[in-house]
Amino acid sequence: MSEAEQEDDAALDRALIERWRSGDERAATTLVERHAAALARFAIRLGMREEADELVQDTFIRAFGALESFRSESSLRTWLFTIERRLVIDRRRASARRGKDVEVGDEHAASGYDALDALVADETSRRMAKAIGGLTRMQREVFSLRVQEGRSYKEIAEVLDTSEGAARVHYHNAMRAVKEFLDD
Amino acid sequence: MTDCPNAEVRDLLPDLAGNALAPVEAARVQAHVDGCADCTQELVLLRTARALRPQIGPIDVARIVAQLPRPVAQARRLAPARVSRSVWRMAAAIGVIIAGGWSVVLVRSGGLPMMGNSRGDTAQLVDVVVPPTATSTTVASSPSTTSVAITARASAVTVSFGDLGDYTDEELQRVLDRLDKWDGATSAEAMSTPPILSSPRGGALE
Repeated sequence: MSEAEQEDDAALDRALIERWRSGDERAATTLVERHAAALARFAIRLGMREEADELVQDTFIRAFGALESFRSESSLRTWLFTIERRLVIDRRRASARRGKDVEVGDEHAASGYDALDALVADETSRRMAKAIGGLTRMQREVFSLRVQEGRSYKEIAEVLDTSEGAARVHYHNAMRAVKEFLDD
Repeated sequence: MTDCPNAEVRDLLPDLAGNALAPVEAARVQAHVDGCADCTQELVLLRTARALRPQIGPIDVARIVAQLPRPVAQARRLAPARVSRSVWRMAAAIGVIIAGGWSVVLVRSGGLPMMGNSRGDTAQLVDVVVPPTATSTTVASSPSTTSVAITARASAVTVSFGDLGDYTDEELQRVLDRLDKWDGATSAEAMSTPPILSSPRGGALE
């Protein structure tokens, strides 16, 4: 999607939000249709395949509850990714407290890419999925947002609550790690 | 697989892979990639990674939308109406109770003192003594004067809180006509015959 297309996309989201704010509930349906699939994929990439549907729903509920405060400084999708990622973090913390999830550190994080192995018939793609699955959580999130979702470093920084420079460094480290894995 | 030293172009490769660059910039980056083996390899790698999309099941949009909060504008439109209706209902109920209670009290007490009624209640009003003429400053304490003044006043005022059954249709209609014309405010006009309050000793109070 080119920059112009992204701008059109953002303008359409803003118009839909405005319609919803003025009482048009059908605008909500269109907004959900536009972003639900990307949110579901992002949830899976964050290692939440089982809870993806629930996470998508909770993300929209939380987003629409705060839509009055959305100022369109970032794209709606970036904002939704931010909300969804925070929900994922909250769930992981809750699971860790209950002792259900022993994954505390960034390394060896569960990855949606592991589950892709069986689905990817092509050897190159299968190896790529494995390479991405071997990244640290932060690297994987940055790589996924940059490569698969086409987000800018600025948007990635917003979603991951980090700086633009740090997002760039994580991306290049991730790319180097993927290349090294594929070279082996 | 090595990295191209052109960091600026490398930064833009994911955008090139996703067709997110403007045509002029895309042509510039593509021109570099065409002459750079490292960037060519990296672009292939990025396109492969981009194609890796997790499989997702059908999304129940209606279920999600059904759980969303209402638009604020709509909620604002609904909320005051609900409050307003309940307030009006409560006010009407209180009004009915007060009116009913007041009516019962009046009926049990035999009605309010009436002006011009036919039951001789006039005497209850006679704390106010009206002099026979508007210009008179003399104390008018004789019963005949009082009687005349009240009779004159009674002919002018026909509002009553007593038993409505005592009145003819014509009288009731007059009462209603007067209520229709009543502006709800106390008249500020000076009376042509100012009342003089009588003292217990029969003298006038100023």
